[in-house]
Amino acid sequence: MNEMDDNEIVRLFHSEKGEEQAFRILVEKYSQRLYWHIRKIVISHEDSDDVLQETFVKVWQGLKEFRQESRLFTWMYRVATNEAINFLAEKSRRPYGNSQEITSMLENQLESDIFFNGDDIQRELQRAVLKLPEKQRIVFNMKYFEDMKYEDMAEVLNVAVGTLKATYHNAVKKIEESMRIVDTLPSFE
Amino acid sequence: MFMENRENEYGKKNPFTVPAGYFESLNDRLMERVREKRVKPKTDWLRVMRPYFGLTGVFVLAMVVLHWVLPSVFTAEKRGEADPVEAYWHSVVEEQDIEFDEDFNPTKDEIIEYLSQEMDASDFYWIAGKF
Repeated sequence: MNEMDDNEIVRLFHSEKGEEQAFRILVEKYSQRLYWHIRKIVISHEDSDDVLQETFVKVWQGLKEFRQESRLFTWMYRVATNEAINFLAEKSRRPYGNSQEITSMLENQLESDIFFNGDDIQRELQRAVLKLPEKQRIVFNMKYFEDMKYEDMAEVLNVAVGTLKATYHNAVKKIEESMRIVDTLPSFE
Repeated sequence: MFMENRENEYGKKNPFTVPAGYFESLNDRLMERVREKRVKPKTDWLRVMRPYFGLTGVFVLAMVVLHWVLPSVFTAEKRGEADPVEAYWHSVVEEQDIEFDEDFNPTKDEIIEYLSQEMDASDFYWIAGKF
């Protein structure tokens, strides 16, 4: 079966009795991408599952008013990103405090994550990514792991392409330094 | 440079995994969650409590009327007090309630003379015309 176009999905959702069918198609099409996007931000699978479900509930509610002023795909990414950031902010209020403690919390989750299957190098890369400031971390993940275009990222994050390029460049520099410090990787220069 | 080399050496393999069957069951679980939200909309406590607030308001109003307003009216009546406006008009009537001697029988000229002294000119000429 051919994958349904986003506009068709929205039309189906707005049609009489088409909501559930359209929603199922949407979940089928985007749940994995959104899950991995969220997972890279909140790390734990359980938390990612919660955030993903909340994201789709918001998408369902928002679709009723969605008038295709932005693209469905980037809008859903924005909802997921906001949900994940809000989730971490909520956690930082209690019992974790500042961003440093959030980073420690995420590192601990990474260490104890039974659903992490990477080798030492991959674990070290994830540790280095977690040390980045939140915005840099999100930009890095979207560009490096999700292969997203800068133009799409700009639409999702509502940030200029130039800013995103600079942010990604800085993130890469920091990760490189971080990896050299732990001497996990040889110099790449 | 680093990233390009890293990509060549290690690729972009996703190191995270999910429990078996997670994505397969996701659609049904999400559908169930959305249906729950639809059937049981978020409780709007203000809406739920509104009738009770209304009843409480009526009760409080009734208590105010019974305890403060009505007793003060009855007490005022018992004391023979009227409201300030009524009291004012009562005093005016009392002032005008002049007692005359039985043999007091002024003539027309005496009345005109009296009024000419007590009333202003325009009223006096209007009244005087009636006699």
